[in-house]
Amino acid sequence: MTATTAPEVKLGKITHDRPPMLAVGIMIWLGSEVMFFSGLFAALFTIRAHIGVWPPAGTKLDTVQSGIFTILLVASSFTYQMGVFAVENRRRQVAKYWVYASMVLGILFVGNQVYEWINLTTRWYTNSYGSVFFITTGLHGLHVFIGIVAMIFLLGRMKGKTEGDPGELAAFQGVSYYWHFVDVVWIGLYSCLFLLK
Amino acid sequence: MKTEARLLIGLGVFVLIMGIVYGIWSKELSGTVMLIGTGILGIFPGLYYRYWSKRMAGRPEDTDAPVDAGAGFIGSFPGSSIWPFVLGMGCWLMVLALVFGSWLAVIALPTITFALAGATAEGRRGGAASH
Repeated sequence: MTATTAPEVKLGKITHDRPPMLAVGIMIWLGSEVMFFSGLFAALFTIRAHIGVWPPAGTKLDTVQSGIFTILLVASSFTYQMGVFAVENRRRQVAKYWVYASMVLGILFVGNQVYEWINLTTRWYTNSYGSVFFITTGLHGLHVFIGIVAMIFLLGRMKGKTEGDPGELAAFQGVSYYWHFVDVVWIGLYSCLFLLK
Repeated sequence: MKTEARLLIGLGVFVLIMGIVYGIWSKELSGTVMLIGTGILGIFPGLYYRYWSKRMAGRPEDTDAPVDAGAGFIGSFPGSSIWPFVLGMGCWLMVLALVFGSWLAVIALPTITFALAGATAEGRRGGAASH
């Protein structure tokens, strides 16, 4: 600890005594997101059932490279959760650094996605595998992008050193629920698109 | 919260079991995936309610309480705000951009960003109701 930190009053952990309405709303919305991605997975499996070889011959996927970025995305979930723990313990400044870390990891993931999109020999018009690959990774990438935007807004909301925003913890946790969800969906997508043979 | 949790988890588990039965019977994946997704749709918020039902005392509506037992602090709500309207306008322009051309997105995207920033800043300040 540096000497610059002001002597602070120990206030203890911030907790909610009831589920915040924002969190309940996000949980129900994430339920609808489950259905959204279920539709995409259903399309994926339907197409898969009609193709003899999966992925079709000629598909060149860099499983290792995407695997590394998958690990980065999973890591970002952990960094964000560290931020949640920090904000619960009233260490807002530390929490913001964790959000920055998660954002960087998220941006790296989207960057790899864009790189993959540009360099993949299979295009969305090549075959049905290409179509399903681009629609699923595209919509997932959009979700990651929205998550990063949400983090930017969260950092904007947490600007400054003053505490006392009553909705701050709920907003922070809300983004965390979304971010973990997007993360879990990617693990499923990665398994189905890259690993499943 | 127990009632909500039981209802949602019960429904979710029922659909999940039906999904597995369907999957084994029909050997068709897309319907199975959708049914399993529907199961998760119920279980997911259900588990959240269950998590809370164990961490908080029963609300007045969980017991046979009189109406006035529910009085007092309910939660923090946003005040009256113009930003949802601005956001709606931005989204409307965005959809129009799909129809009439991408130049409309040049107006729509800043409008959406502006509205989201406004709404977020207002959430921090406590909204119009606190003025």
